[in-house]
Amino acid sequence: MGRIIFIFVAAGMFSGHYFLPDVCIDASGTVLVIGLSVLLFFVGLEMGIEGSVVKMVKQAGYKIILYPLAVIFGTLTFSAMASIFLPITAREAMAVTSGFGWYTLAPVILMDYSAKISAISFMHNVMREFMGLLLIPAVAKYIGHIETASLPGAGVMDVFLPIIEKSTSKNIVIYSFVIGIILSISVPILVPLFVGL
Amino acid sequence: MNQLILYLGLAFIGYIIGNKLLKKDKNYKWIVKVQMVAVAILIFAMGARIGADEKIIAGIGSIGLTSFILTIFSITGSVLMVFILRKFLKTDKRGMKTNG
Repeated sequence: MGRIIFIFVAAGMFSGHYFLPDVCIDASGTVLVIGLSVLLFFVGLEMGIEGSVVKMVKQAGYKIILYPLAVIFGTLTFSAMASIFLPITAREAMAVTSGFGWYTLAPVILMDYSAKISAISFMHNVMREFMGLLLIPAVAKYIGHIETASLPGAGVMDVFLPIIEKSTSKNIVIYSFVIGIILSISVPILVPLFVGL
Repeated sequence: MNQLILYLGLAFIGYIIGNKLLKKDKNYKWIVKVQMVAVAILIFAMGARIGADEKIIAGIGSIGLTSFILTIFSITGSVLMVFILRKFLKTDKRGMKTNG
């Protein structure tokens, strides 16, 4: 899946730069809205079939909800601080980092806001997944097990779950799952919210 | 705001349909396929917009650096806040409750 994504981004960039007339680029806004609508409907459908989020939280105790909230709070406050040194506003920085590694969704939502912020969002979210993945063993060893589930972002509920379990223990699966689900739900809420889409 | 409501509304309708109307034990492979196609189209369109923007291509270095700094900060913030919360909830390094 990862490789296909990069091939499509590269092919898109290449044709956008060399072939596609401006008419196509202007029309891409409509394509984005329709495509995103289809995608989010099916993401919701998949979550619905997999079973109830609420049941999972009940099983683990309500306090577990605080962990994904801590990840969201830490990500947003620190990226707002980082924006002081960067050529973007605090709101833009928070819109970028509230993608939580979901690089196929967050940058597409931001496309209509600004192509530059969208490009930053794509790169940042790829980096968050990749660096997060690399840091899992070290964080598990020196800092703590639950902390590993805060590293790569939304993907900790599926793609990264086995890797986190291997570096930590079975106990962490529930933390990882709840963090991943709450982060996934927040992406389509927070990203457009910060830029007012 | 309109787009936010549209996307969330659709995801919510999807969730309700998936949860109430579709069978849990059945494997719906076509759902994954539809998602893949949507993602491929979206990512291509996004790439095209980025590629068509001369300023982005010219400033790709600065964009990379900005992304990298945001990544360092957001990962640090996440780990720090989870660490503080874990101490506050009296949970040990391995995710187990400690007594007292």
